[in-house]
Amino acid sequence: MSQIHRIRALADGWLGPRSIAPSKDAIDKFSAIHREIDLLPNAKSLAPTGVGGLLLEWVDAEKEFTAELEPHGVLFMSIDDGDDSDEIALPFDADTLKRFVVSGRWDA
Amino acid sequence: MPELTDDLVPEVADEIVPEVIMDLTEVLLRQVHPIHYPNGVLSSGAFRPGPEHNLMLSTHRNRIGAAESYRRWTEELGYESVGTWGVTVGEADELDLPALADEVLPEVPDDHASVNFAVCETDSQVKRKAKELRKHAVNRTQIYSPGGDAA
Repeated sequence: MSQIHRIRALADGWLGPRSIAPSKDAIDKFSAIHREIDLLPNAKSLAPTGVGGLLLEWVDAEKEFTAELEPHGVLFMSIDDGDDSDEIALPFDADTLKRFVVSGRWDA
Repeated sequence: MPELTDDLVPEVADEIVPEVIMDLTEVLLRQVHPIHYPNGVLSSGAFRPGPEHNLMLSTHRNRIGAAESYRRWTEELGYESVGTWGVTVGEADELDLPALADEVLPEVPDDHASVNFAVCETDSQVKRKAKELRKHAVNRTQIYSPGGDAA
């Protein structure tokens, strides 16, 4: 059973009384780029947040990358090289998410 | 101006305030939902405070042990866990996150402690500090696994 399927199977309350399961729409947005996610280095995790978001993290070339779809449709992205952290929060855009996962850049 | 009577004075004297844990070496015990450990990679989501806890990351005091922490979380509270990880009070303190012995509060279980993320000014800080706690927990390795293969 893939991680996407496990996340789809969650119900509200999965992490405590007020925790929220990610919406079908949010899961579909990450499911649409599952091939790109599969190509990321092995040190990666896709996991839900307790407030109904989805959090993708991976490490590449000693940098930590984060792409998070927050519950209200904001796409949060960050790059952390241990000394400095760069981050941005934008309205969700499928192309931006895919670009960030593929290239580690949110700029077009 | 109204006269100051007893019913206008806040009852601060009766307020229970949890103490900050001062032993920086104490390892606080954190249970991790299986979905936060896909393919053996620990998500920083496991170290973010849950929505029911007002930015308090729920942990157990070290004195009960990692196996008992797992047992209470899964058997007594009925939640899922893949095992116990730990961060020290000092590691949280370095991130300006105080650890509180909040078992003294009403409806808080015995031997409970919380890492207080309410001091963070932004969601971004919460996310970054959760990632730092995750790093410490990973470096320490899993303390207890119900399968018995943890450190």
